[in-house]
Amino acid sequence: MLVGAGCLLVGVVLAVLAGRTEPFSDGADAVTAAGFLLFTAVGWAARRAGRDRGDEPAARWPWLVVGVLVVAMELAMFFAGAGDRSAYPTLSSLADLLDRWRIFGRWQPGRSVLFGAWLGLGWVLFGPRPREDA
Amino acid sequence: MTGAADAIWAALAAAVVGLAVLSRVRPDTVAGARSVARSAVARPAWRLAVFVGWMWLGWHLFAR
Repeated sequence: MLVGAGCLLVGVVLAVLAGRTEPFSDGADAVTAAGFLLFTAVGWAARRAGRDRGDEPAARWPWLVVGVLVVAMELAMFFAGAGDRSAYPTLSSLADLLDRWRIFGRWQPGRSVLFGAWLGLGWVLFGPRPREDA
Repeated sequence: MTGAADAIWAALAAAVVGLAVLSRVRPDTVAGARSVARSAVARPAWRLAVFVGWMWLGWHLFAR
């Protein structure tokens, strides 16, 4: 609980800071590296915390299908649209559109939200999970 | 291609949202996103691979 609250607090701070950085800058490198370090520590601490039960009967294949389609679309756009990214948008070029939204001077709230979503994905993947015997 | 590409991306986003909603409404039919994500990192080797992929994604999106 405390770990979760602490990570949430640090994650919000990092996301706000990320919204004030520009790609290819020292600030962007630093805040992204801080996200790596945070989840390397969380993942290391949680590595023996427990495993998910494998008895869920619900289908996972629909997610796999959508994931394969997303990867296929990303690769198709990447190779088809070299030099014309606006006509063949990749996920990262779509994410760049968020950077155009600025408030309070140079803060990019869309970038902060995206950074928070990236950290949230890290929490879901590598954060602590309930013990099997709980 | 812009219109078609945008439409396909929008359809894929709608599919993700739809699956997320369906997994909440009918949890016996479609697994939740959290469950799927966690099953992907259940084995140590996969966990390391997904961690490297997650790091690359962050670096690509935010630092380059």
